[in-house]
Amino acid sequence: MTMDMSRYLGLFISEATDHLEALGRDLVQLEREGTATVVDSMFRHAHSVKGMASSMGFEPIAVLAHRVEDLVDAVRQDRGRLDRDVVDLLLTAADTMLAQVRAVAESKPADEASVLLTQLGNRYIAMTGKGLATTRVAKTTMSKPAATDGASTGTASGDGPARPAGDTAVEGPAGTTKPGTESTAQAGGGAASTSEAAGAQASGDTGSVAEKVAKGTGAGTPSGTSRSQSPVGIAGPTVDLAAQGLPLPPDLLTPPGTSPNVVSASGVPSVGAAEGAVAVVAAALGLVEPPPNDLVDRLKDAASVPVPAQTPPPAEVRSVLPPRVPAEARGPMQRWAVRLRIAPTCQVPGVRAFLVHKRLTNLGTLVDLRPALEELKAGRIPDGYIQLELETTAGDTGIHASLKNVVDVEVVSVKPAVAAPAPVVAAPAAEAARAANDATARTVRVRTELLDYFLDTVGELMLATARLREVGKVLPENARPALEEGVYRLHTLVKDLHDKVMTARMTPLSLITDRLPRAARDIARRKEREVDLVITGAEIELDRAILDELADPLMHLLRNCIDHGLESPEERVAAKKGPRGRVLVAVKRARDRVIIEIEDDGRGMDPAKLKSAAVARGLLSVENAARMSDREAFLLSCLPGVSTAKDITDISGRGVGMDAVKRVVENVGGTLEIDSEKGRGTRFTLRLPLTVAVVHLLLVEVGDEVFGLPIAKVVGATEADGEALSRSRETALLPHGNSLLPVHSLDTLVGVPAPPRQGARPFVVMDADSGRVALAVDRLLGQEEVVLKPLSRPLDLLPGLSGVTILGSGRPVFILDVPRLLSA
Amino acid sequence: MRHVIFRVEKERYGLPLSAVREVVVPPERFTRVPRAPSAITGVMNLRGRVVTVVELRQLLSLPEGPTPPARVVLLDRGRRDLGLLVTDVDGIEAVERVSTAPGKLTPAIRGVARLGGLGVTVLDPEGLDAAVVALFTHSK
Repeated sequence: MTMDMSRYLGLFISEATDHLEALGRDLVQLEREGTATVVDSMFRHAHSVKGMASSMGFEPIAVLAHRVEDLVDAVRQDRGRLDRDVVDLLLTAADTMLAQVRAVAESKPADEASVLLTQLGNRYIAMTGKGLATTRVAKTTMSKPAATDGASTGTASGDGPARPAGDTAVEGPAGTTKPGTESTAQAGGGAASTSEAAGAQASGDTGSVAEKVAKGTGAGTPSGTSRSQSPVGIAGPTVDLAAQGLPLPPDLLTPPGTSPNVVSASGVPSVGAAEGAVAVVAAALGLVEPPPNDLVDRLKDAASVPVPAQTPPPAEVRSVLPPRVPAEARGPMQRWAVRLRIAPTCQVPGVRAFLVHKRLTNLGTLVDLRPALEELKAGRIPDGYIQLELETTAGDTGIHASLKNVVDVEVVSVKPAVAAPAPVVAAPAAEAARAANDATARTVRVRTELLDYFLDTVGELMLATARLREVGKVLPENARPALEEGVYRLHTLVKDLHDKVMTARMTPLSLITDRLPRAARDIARRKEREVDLVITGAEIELDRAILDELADPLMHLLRNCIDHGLESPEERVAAKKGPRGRVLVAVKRARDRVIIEIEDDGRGMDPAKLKSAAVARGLLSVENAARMSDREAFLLSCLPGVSTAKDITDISGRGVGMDAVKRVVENVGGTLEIDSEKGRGTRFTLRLPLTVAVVHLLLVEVGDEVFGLPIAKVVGATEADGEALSRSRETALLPHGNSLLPVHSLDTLVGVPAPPRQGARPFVVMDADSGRVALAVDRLLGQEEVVLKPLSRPLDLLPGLSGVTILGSGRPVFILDVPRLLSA
Repeated sequence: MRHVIFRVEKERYGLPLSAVREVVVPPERFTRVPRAPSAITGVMNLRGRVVTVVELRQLLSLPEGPTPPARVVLLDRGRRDLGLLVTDVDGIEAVERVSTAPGKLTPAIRGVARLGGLGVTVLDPEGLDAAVVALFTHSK
């Protein structure tokens, strides 16, 4: 029987990618300050990838990871062996593995990378003088997802063709799901440093933990527990599978003869549990160095995440936080479950709730509080109910007494809480159940599309609520209050939900800044520059949609800083600077904006050069250039084709890119500023909105279509008779202030037919790339604040659109990127 | 395999059921897309999502007909929100044995099949996607 691994593929891809990216980061860090912990961490990442890849049957990845692991191990033994070339080699290997993982993700075969393998092998032999060991890989078959659906019994067993002869495995009967089945997983044997079993590393420690866990569930779960109903039930099969999944790698991978591994796997997981089980298998596979206790925690964590049966295979559920360990029950200290209610008539529920919190924390330790304190303070208390658990010596009378004179608060019940778990061995099931209850403290990986869907839907809910309210206005007087009350309630709930969805979308910037050190090293290496990259504030969060857009611009700015900004070490020394350049990426939060500054201490930009480059390209008149401030001049570098870089490299300097950076930043509702001082350096400042771009628009009508113009770019609006304007080479000129602005008619710009007009019409004056322009429109509809939606394929292929939004009326409206509209 | 069968004028077309998210009635008016090729009818608001709607007649370069399009077939293409404007939707039928279609080969058309004694042109979702993207890239 072969193991159907396809359901684990999604998890493998995401976990392997995480490990490989971390490996790359470690390498860059290692080169700078090689500490033992970094090397250990690298070893762990390489080892995990090897284990995962081999149990998934991806031989090329496993083999490559194995070589990397060998080399890292050699470095671990003697850090003097590390040099730039080794780091280069390892980085290339990490990149290659990432490419391989991507390949298998697209169900293509992974590249064998034989040249790289030879290089790694030679390097290892040169370093250690030892020969290379072979990598063992599980023979598994990947069945197509469609086939998986059909084979819903999903038997995962350790029995496979790759099982080494001599293994005395005891196979449980397929279909056995009785919780009472005794699992005895023993994995003994030594961990041979180069050719040991991948993944679960058949060390005695790990094995014994597996045994403990397996036995624990087998024996500890109350008999008769149904596996897919209660939380305990869910935890049951997952841990059970852990017992099965954990010994699997040694079973399949241990070279014959290294250790007399005895593997027993019993119990076939139900399909419903399998998704959760993925996490456990991965935990087991990825497990290398954590001490036994850590493993127990991780398994328990993973086991306690309840997973709906219908979750599609790519869903990734993974626990991060360890379960909170409650204080030991001892002496008169007792844990009480308290339920309170704030009277619905209470005007200041937040204040009352806060008071309750304060009183109770004086009595003892609050273990669990729902809703959370911030929610309470904000007065967001569903139906007024507050639940908490308190550890105190005061007893129930003490609790009652302390809350007696808090106005508007009614104590519903005070009961002794479920006893704190007894020592681990005795009641692992209770432990698992408690961990399941504590699931709120855990994190879950969610696909971004799902978050997008939530946001779209919540937006629709808000619109629907507004519509209901409108409908209510035409109802007879006496019927209105009931509806209005309902609508009001709905409105608060939806608004709250919207807040939550927005919070869920917030992602730390480290998601993209983590890639910068590696990139900085590569660019610096290629350009023979020395650079120190300092990143601060990466923990600050931004909406996911904005973050996704920012990855490329940030990378581009970094390239720009290193490639153009920084001088070569010799030039720097000549300019009395240290030979190592410094690039600072600082993230700050200022009210509702996030500010990202990317700063180098290089040669700076020359405004005069930029101006002459723009004039030479006909993008700027000589007079305008003369009037332009330095700050405006720096922004000229964002015009297509303007670059002052002396040499054009493959890295940057072709004048493409900065315009894209500016466009992206503006499209998400932000601004870009450039400051520079000759000889001192350049600073790019990105000011970004915190959440999905809420943009201010001026809505204009052309024909029977409505378009949005970003207010940030609008200088003003005037009315004039289009026919009466003076013209120059067919272009009408609108007097504005003391200058004449070229007039563009918006209907022809966007290609929307509009009937010709006589007499006065409105003109919108806007900032474009090379000065101001006037747009002739049919009607000004006023300003509106809207949520910007990014354009999906194929709309993003059109020039001149920066996004789309849905107005309160439900009508989609495009937001125009006027400079691009004019140039394209 | 089960296919959603729909018509452009009298001609019948089919798309695998798995490639179709839903079928909706077109809104009273579409928001026109600036500078879009003429086959793009416009965008519509589908429960908060902005869906680009393409007229299938124009996408397949079919002659103009008298019947106004009455349905939008929404494709299930992940975040790519794409709808096909068609004359009407007939229903869901099992389509087997697809043979080569007559005329010019285009990626949007997989072939023809026999259904209830009559012919049906089977479309290829990936090909349709590519054809729409090609509209945008060629027009420049």
